[in-house]
Amino acid sequence: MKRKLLKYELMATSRLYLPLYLVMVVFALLGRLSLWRLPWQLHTSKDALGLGSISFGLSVGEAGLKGQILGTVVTVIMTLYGLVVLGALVVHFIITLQRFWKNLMGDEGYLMFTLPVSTGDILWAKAICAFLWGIATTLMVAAAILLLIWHPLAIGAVREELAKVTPDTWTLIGQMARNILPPVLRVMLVAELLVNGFGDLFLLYASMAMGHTVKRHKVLASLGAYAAIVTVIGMAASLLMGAFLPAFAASVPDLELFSSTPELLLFSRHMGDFLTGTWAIVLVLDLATAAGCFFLARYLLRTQLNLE
Amino acid sequence: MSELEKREGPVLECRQLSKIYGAVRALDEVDLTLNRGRIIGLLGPNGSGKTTLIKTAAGLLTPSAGELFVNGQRPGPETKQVVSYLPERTYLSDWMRVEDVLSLFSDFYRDFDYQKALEMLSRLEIGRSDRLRTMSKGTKEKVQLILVMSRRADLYLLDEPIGGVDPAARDFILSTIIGSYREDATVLISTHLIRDVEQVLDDVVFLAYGKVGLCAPAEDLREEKGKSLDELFREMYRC
Amino acid sequence: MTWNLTGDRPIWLQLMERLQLGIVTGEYQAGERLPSVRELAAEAAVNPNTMQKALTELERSGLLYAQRTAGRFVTENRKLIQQTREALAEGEVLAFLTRMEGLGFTGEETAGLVLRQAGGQSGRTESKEAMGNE
Repeated sequence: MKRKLLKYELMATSRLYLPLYLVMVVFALLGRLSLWRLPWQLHTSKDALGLGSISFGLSVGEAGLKGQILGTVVTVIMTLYGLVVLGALVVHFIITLQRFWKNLMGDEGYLMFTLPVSTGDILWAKAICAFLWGIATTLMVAAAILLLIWHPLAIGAVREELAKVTPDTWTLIGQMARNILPPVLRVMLVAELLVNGFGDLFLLYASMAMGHTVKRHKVLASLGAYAAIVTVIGMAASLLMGAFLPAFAASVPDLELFSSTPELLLFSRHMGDFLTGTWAIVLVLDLATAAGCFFLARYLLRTQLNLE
Repeated sequence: MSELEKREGPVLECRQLSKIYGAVRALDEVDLTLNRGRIIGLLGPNGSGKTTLIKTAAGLLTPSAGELFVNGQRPGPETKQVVSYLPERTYLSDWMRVEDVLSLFSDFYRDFDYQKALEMLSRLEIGRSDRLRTMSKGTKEKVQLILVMSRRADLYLLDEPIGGVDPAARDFILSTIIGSYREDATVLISTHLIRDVEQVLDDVVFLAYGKVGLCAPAEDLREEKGKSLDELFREMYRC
Repeated sequence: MTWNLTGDRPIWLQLMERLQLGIVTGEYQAGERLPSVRELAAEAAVNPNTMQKALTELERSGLLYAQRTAGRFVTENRKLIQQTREALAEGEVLAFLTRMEGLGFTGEETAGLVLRQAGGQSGRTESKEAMGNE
């Protein structure tokens, strides 16, 4: 049943996300076109690279009215590009809220909550779907940015910088990276991505479910519930961190000079231990938050829900 | 659960069922048993607890006290598989096409008769690819009724199916209910428009102020009192 | 067929009377197969259980008979239909007489009035009778 729910959730959301992605692609292409293909760009040197210099140097290429018009067009396109790319994340957030609020607590809830499925399955289907779209949207944003800046000029500049690094330094960086990120921490980072991703969603769901139990001003009550839950979590976090952090921090040696390679490696090992310890706390805390919010949301939807 | 087990005992049973909202007792220690194979009217003025009772049986509300059983089970995913519920609201998403809704119902409900639904829809000249967005509220309500009545459920819960519709729509609704009726199924129709459903009912349950005032076969009442259910109801709850 | 049901008397009784009328007036011919319970119930907009009860009562009176698979038929016993028709007429007359009594007419006075009124309509009445006996 969970799979069927997920199927319909994906169906219902894809009609919102796919057009969004299409708009993103269009603006990324437009942005790229105006950035690299317009005449003024021919005069951009490698030194002028970087978005700041580009946006301020628009009138460089063509003089006079034509240059000004062209500059304005490019500015508008680039502004829209920025809005669309950043806006995509906002839209994702809004869709996530709306799918819960409208589909479960509005009139559509009459259908959703009389389907022969458990409330837990409904929550999971919603969360898995939102999580997947979250990843997809993030990838789309990354792709849109890459599409804009991916150019031989830019690649060349980066490559030149990287070429300055000596092989010895590379080895050192690699060793330090391995020390700072031991295998346990790497696993925990991936786990944190999942736990935190779902935890945030369940936090939103629990807040909305709680806000919905109030008779009037349900949206305001949801915001209040969100603030309350976040405060509780924050307090728990500072208590836990306060208890463990000093001990972890003390274990990192106070090194004043990072002049020698052994010192750097030693430092990175301690840093790895420190990060592993704190990350474990973060993970436990987020896991507790996710589970707590899931069960709270499920309880509220099961027993306190009163559809209008 | 085997078919035989399913058909034993009452289809719906309430024991001392109460639902309390703050100071309001929407249901007040209701004891009620509904048997199989009946069309039952849940009659009462607005705010008498009809919708609360139906929503509790549909699994949308949790009792404050007492118990409710459908096929001997507390409301949950299993009972939702045998209960076909028509709320007052239109609950279908606007962006869906008729075929989306049909496949949703046949995906989730084992007892959904796709062919029957399609036939009934075509009688209203509603096609598979019609969008719900383009339909009037009345048409959407008819589509919902068809979906609900195209299931082979044990218990149909119809909340105010004829509230505020024109006479032609009312006739369509009543004939759809009668036409879909099966001997092993029970249909519970809540309404405050008693006159409109009088002829269709086997039994009546009078509800007022969250309490059951009367629960009897409709024909017995007519015979004993020589009055229509509508008159009888007005007498009992004169205000 | 219009059903015109009221809520103050048992529905099954009204259904039975209406079906009886249908049979004696030839709306349902002797030996004709009746629509199914479900169809009849839908037509009259009543509960199928109630329609079932009316039909069962008519079966008991002999006006209908059921064949296990083929369905329900109007009796081929025309004599019984005729008797029923007469019984219905008698009932109507008795009810009419009672009402006339209420208006202060004796039976004989009433009969006189009826004869006078019926004189002008006799042609129509006869042809209707002929149809009923077909």
